Amino acid sequence: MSVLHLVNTSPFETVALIRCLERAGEGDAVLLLENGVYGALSGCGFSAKVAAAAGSLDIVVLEPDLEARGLDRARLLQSLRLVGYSGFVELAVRHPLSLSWT
Amino acid sequence: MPKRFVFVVRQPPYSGARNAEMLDQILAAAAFDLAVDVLFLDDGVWHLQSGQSPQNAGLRRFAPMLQTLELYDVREIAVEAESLEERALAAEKLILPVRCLARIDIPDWIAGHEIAVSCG
Amino acid sequence: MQLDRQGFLADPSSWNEELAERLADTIGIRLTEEHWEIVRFIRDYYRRYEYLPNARLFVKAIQKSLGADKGSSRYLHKLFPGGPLKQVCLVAGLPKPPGCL
Repeated sequence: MSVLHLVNTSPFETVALIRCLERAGEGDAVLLLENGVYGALSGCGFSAKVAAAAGSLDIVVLEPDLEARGLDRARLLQSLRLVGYSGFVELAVRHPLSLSWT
Repeated sequence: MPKRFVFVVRQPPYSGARNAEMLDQILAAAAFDLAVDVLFLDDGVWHLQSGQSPQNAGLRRFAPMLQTLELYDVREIAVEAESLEERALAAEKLILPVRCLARIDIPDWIAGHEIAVSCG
Repeated sequence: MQLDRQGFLADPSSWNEELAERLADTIGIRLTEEHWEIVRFIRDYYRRYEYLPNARLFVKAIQKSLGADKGSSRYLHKLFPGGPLKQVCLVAGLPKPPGCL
């Protein structure tokens, strides 16, 4: 069964995002939420790893949390998807397993 | 067929109430005869370090509690080989016999369960 | 023999077999070899693992170590009618197990 991975800490603060990407399997989804949304930024130290992982993973960013932090789309990696709360629910339905990385 | 659970432990020991909650969750599942596996990843592998003596630091010993996992038929205690290697730990020196999984095999192994729980 | 408010041995390190008989007396139990087997089991468990199991795990652990006949709520309730885990801990001079009223 595929896994929905949840990352809610900033990649500037913890290595949760990278640790998660290392263990996510093809077809899994990774949702960046709360402070995890900083992981969607381009041009940062971790950005190349996130961009590479987006080839085999569905990397999704929770838009309300992005907006809350004043990050606009132009600064994000292009291969990521933005979703709202209904998209979050849909992800949870599509992936029967979920794991939080903090 | 009972549901297959996997508990994923990523935080080191002595991280506050988390440890006890983790064991409570795992044992609660095992007590109800569910098929339970536990996976230690990243700093979670420090739980398995032998010779922990936290008493002088005023902390409670946790290793003996972990050793009861075997008593309750927890099916598999797995660790990621890379997490051990990064910390210069050897599987045969841990406090419990474990199954070593390579990082590359972790996604499939997790996908073989029906419920995954991240517990610290 | 000093007891705490709930009737448990105040100083666990003072426990001995004779005290166990007297502790059992306070809850109206006369210890037989069957009782002793369970008392020794829980003392050994606590010494080895440094915590007390909940009621369900207790039965399961006995099942595993002493067999299915003894690892049953019915058998244990016959020996310790006022709640097996709580009463066996009381007799064994251990703390009151968590989650017991």
